[in-house]
Amino acid sequence: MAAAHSFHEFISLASPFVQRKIEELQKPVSILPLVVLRIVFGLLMFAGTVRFMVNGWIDAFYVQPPFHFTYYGFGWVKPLPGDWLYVVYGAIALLALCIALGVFYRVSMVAFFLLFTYTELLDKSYYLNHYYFISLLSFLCIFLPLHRHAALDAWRRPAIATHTVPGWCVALVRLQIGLVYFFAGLAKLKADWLFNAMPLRIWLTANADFPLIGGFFDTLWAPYLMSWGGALFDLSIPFLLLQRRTRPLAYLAVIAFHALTGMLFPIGLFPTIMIGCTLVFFPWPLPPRVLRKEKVCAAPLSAYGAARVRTAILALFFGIQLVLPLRHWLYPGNVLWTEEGFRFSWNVMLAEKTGHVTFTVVEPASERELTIFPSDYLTYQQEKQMSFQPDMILEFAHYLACKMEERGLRDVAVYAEAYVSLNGRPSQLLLDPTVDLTRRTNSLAHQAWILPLEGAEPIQRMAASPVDGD
Amino acid sequence: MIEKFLTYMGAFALVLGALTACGSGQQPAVPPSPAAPTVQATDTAPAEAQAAPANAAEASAPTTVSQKADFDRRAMLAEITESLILPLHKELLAETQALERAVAQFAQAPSPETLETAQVQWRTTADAWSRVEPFGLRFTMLVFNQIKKWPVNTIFIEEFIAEEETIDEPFIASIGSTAKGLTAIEYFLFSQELTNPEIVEALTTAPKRMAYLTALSQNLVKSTDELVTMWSPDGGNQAQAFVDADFSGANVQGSMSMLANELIVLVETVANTKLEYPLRGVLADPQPDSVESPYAAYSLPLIVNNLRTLQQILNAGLGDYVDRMAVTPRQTPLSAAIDAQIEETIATIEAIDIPLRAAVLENPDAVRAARDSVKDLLVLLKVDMANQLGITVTFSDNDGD
Repeated sequence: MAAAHSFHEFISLASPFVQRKIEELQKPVSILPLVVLRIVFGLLMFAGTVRFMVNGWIDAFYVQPPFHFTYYGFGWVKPLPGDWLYVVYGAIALLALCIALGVFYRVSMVAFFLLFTYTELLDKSYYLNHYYFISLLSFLCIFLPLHRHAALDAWRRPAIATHTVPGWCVALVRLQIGLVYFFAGLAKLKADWLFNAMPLRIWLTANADFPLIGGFFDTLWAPYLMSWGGALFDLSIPFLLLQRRTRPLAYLAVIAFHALTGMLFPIGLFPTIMIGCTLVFFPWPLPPRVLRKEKVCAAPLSAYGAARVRTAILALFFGIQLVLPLRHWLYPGNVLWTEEGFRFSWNVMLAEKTGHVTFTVVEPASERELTIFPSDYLTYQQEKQMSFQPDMILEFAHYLACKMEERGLRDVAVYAEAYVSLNGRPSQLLLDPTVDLTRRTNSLAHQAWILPLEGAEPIQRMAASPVDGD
Repeated sequence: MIEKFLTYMGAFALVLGALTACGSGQQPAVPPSPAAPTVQATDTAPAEAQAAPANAAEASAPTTVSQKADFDRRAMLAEITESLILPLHKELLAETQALERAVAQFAQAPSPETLETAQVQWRTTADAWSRVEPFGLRFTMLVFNQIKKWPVNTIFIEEFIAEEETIDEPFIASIGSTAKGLTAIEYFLFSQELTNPEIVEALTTAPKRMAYLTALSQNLVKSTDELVTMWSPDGGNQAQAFVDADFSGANVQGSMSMLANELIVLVETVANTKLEYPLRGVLADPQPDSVESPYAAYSLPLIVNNLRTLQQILNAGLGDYVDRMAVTPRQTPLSAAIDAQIEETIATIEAIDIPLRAAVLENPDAVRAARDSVKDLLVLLKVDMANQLGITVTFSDNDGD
């Protein structure tokens, strides 16, 4: 209560506008946006998980590879042996259905979050921003009463059934989705994206035979229009969806934007998930006769669980999300090149990056030297992802050193020759090839052995480029 | 009302999106448009297709950010199919048939002369194979292994000879790919230890060995015929499917993407499996027996053939397409850089003046130089070309990071 008291003191000191807004968030609103979210989220997660299993990705991604790239601080997360991973994915699918039906909701959501996040932590070769989004959303939904209407839980236990929830419950979901768009927009404010229309120029020209609008992709100005339009869309869409007057058009734009990207790029269920989740921005008003009957009104924060703990957790949860996408400013160089602070930052569709890395293993005592092609050890997807990500190259170098020592070599040094091309630039060395990577450890600090991106800046490149523009 | 309408639209988009995403693993069927190029059965002589590779720098347009619509990618795929894929496969079939005849003549009248005829024909057939090797698209994988898989498992072969009563073509068809195909024929026809008269004697004194060899040559024709039929407009017509599957971007089904990635895999195989492994094995010890052609000592010409075919594919339009897709200026157009690197690589390989098997022991520096040159070529293809074309293959979902 002390925390709540000081919170109100803080609010009273704040401007009347903020105070009014905070009070508005306590007022009851229709629970229907949350119900829609629960059903859409549950069904899509079920479909997505079944699709993952049917495509054979459990085996290809987690069972077959003998080596996995781990996340910093999560090296202890390992794939379960035998068929247990199939059990995990089966459980995720089942839990997603439970969520859609609103049965054993809280337990289902907690278990879904834990199991889904567990699978995502197994190997960072498969990192996707939209998987991260699913983890975030499922964590948030643990604390929200999505199961109190049109759910089996509400039917089983009429005492929890309600038509309204405090406004903040819906607002937090909108905040979560809004953050994704806004930071994805912020991440697009990079020279490559804005001034060189990269990588859209590569991707759109490769799709010049796209039905109906392919010819448009092939013009010089189309990638620029779509780059700037995309950035503007991401930055503004949360605000446009919040306003009653702009909401219908904004949602049309959401459908159009995601439908187009879904048709152009292999991004799986992501467009569908975003089209579904943004439905939460609609108020879904209840008929007045229902509201009149509704007993729960202006439900206090404490109505749903331990308020203080929850407030602290959610404040931390959103606080971290505000910091993570900006952390790359703490590192020198272009984040698209160094990838320091790249993940968990909504850097979506920003880089066409290709690489090739070979390792040289040297045993100093015998002067024995070996060239290692990582395709002998890694799957196609793992090798592809590693070839341009310094932290993964470092992790593999350490793995290679262990493998070589198992074969009898002693005190080996491992060097990496990594050539990378970013957004159409000619290939260049990503790492200092003279650095023994076994002497370097992964950390959150800047890695000085990553070489800076050489070559002209995108704007100069543009000017120098013999554009004929016709 | 508007919101209700949009909600319905959203629900419709959701269902449509989910169906599209779930179906994305399936190969979409794209009917060829009436005006689209079609593959003709052609009798173009392979020699014509191979004649004097044009200088890519001259052949290709300057690197500009120009319109791509004027480039007919489908026509390029048709050109590659008609001028290279179909004639090279036909050539391979003709050569395997000639090898079958040469082996039959040798089996009928074993002598150092008939053996030598068969050996010469084996080399010609291996040449033809190495020119087909760059077209090892996924659907050919099984039959490719039947035609050539190396290293050959000589232990299996000797066990079969010792244990089997009858060795004929149906028996060869029934066994695994490591005990048959071109490499197994090489094992019988050539030896680094025995002279030709001794090889003749070894085969004539053991009829089952000769039967094995004969059956291998017959089976090779069958497997090659199967491969050619897959491509042929009269058979599986994969040639037309190859042209029709002109999907772009990161679509794994797209022919452009598949072909480019196969070329990358081939060059990586040359660098790693064909050169690096014999040079240094797994523990920095040379592995001369691991060369591609250990008995005939014909590994290096096969690598050169691989690279020449790659060059021909570039000259048949891929190089031009690569340059037209360039979005940033380069001092040298990428296709010209690749072409120059291929020439340099071939020069370093031809500078190895003894068979690879001996060179990994006696002249490792020359092999290392060739390996390094292939690696440089690999970077141009796997990093620069793939980036310029935006054809990175993605087998799973991707959001571009």
